[in-house]
Amino acid sequence: MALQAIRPHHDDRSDDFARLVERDLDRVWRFLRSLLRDPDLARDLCHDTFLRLHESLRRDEIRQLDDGLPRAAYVFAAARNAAASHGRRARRQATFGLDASDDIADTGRTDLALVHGELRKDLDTALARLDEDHRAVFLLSEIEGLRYEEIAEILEIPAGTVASRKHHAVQRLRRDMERMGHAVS
Amino acid sequence: MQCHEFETALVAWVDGELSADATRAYEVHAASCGACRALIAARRHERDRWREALRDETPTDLRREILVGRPSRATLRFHPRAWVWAAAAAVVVVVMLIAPWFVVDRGAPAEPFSRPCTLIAVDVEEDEGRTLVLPGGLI
Repeated sequence: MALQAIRPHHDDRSDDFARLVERDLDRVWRFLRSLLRDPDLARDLCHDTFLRLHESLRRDEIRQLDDGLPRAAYVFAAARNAAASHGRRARRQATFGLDASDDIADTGRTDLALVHGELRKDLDTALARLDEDHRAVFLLSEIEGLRYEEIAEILEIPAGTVASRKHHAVQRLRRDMERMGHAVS
Repeated sequence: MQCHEFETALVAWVDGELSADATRAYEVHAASCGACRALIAARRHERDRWREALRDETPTDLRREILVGRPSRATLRFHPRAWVWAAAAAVVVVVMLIAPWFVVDRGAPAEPFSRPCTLIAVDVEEDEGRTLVLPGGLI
């Protein structure tokens, strides 16, 4: 399986795949980066996500296409599944340490402070305190601008649950950000 | 609509996710309530700030790596069974390479065992208290 992945992208769907990468890589990267809080892991899972998408394209497995490409919901579902698969494996190995009990002061990363600024660092810290279900909804809605119906499809939950999670995620983030000195004026 | 109802639905309204009826009721209330209009402005400002802050630059080489199909660490790391099979294959190869050294040579063996051969598997038999190791067939 691993060896088959070495040069997978050279076939008659290469153009479609290149367009897909052009259209969605940035948003998949953003989503995974903030969902997982680990740039290296996000990078790996970007590879994994697009490898799966390529396979799906090559095998014509995708039923609903948008201009010949998978819909955004399909792409994000692939990314979400890659993250979930990783999470299951990591939990088995007891190394997936995202926990709502993370202490705010302990989760800050000084490198992020340098690169992205204080707001980014504190947002990352506050996001880390959300459970992954709420974080995923928040990122897909707030940052990527997906409709609640699309998010419901991606996460396989009712749209009402998406609305509820988004509301609570915003409330909690706002509270934590205010504690860290980022009150919205 | 009361202010507390307005606030409860604020996030969904700014996201454009309320029904047409709810949206109308929301707009009527906002038109008459300065405090709730301020909440709308604050929510939009907050959303824009967070969105901007979380706009990551995609690593420059990631796009190229994906397009040329370079395997990620994840590809290798995430298929543990591949590692198990690779390790098993390595063990088999090592055993096949070193096994001939452990074949007991008891005098002049009859054909076809008198010439060096690759041992695929062995059968062990007891003969008058001595152990004889004979090349066998495929398992």
